Amino acid sequence: MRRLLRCVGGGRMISEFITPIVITSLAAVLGSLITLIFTLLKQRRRGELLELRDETHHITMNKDSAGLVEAIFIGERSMLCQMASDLLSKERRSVDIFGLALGWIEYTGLSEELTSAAKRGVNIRILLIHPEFARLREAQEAQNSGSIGQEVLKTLHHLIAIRQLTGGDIQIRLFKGLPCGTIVATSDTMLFQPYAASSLAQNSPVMVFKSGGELFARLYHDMFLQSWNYAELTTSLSPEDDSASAQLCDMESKVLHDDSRTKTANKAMDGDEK
Amino acid sequence: MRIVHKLIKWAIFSVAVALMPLAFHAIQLAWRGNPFSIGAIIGHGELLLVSVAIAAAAIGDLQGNKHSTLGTVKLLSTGFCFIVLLMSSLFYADISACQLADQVLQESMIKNVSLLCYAVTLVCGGCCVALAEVA
Repeated sequence: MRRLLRCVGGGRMISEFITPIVITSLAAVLGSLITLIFTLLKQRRRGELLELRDETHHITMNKDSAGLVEAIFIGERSMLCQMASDLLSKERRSVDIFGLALGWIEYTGLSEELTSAAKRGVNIRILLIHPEFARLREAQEAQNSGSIGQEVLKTLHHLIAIRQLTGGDIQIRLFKGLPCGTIVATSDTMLFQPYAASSLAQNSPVMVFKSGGELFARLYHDMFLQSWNYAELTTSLSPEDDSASAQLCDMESKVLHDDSRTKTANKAMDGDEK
Repeated sequence: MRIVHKLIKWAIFSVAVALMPLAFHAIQLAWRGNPFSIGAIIGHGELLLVSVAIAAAAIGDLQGNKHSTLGTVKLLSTGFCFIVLLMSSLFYADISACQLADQVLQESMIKNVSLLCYAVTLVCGGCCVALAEVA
C-alpha cells in the first residue's frame, strides 16, 4: 500500500503495477460477466416475471413463486364441487370453506367427503353468508326473494347434522356481509372463484393456487382469514349442537318474518302502481 | 427484451455521449491538419475520466433500484465496478500529477492502460445496468 501511494503522483504507478492492473481488470470483467449470466439463468429457470400492482407498492412476483397453478372458466357448479371433493379426499390437516349459501355441499358428493374428513380429524371451518344478508346477492344469482336465506338455513342444519354424526371439529360462522367469492382451501391448495357484480357466481373463473406461493398466502389471508376473524361482521354458531339449533330456530323466525314483511311491502307497491 | 432496450439506451445516452468531447477533439485535430492518432486524443488520460463517469453512473443505476431482491449479486457487481472506478481514478491522478510536475510520460503506455480501463468499465458497467433491469 505504501509502495502504491508513493507511486501515485510519481508517474510510476502504471509501469510498476501493470501486472496487477491487468489481473484486476480481468478479474473484474470475469466476475461481472459471471454474476450477470448466473442471475439471468436463475431468472430464466424460474420463469417469466409476473408483475402485480397493489395500491401500496409495486410487487413483482415470479410466476412460480406467485403460486398460481391455473385459472379455469366453468359454467357449472359441479366442476368446482368435483375439484373441491378431490382436495378434501386427500386432506389430513385443515379445510376452510367460504361462500354464499353453500347449498352445493349438500346436493353434491362433497357432503360425504366433508363427513369423512371430519371423522379423520381434519379441522374444518365454514364461513357462509348470514341469512339476514342473503338478499344482497339474490338479483345477481337470479333467485327469488328469500330463497338464498332459506338455503343458508338448510345448509346450516346439514352441517350441524354432520357435526353431530362425526363429533368432528367443525366451526361454523356467518358473515354479515357479501362474501368476495367461493373459497375452498386445504393446507396446500386453494380454489378461489370471485363473484362478479352482475352475473352468476358459477360463471366466474375458478383459480387454483398452491401453498408456498405468494398469491396463496396473500389471498388466503385477505379473502378468508380477515373475514373469518372480523368480529363485527361474523356470528359464530355455537359449538354445542343444542345451542346451535336454538340459534338456528331464532334465525329462521327472523328470516320468515322478514320474508313476509317484504312480500307485504311488494304487494302494497304493486297495488299502488295499479 | 427489456434488458436489451436498457443496454441500448445506456450505450447511446451514457457511453456515446460521454465520448463526444473526445470525438470533437479528434475532428478538431483533423481539421487543423495536426497529427491524428489515438495516442494524441487519449494520451493524457481523458478516457480514464470517461471511464470513471460511466462506472459511477452504472453503480448508481444498480444501487438506486429499490425493488431489487438480488442482494449478493448487486453487491458483487457494484464491487467490481467500484474497483474499476477506483483504478481509473488513481491512474488519472497519477498522470495529472506527472503532467503538473512536467515529467515525461510514455504516451503509448497511457493509451494502452486507458483503453484497458475503458473496456473493463464498459463490461462491468454494462453488467450493472443489465442487472438493474433484471432486478
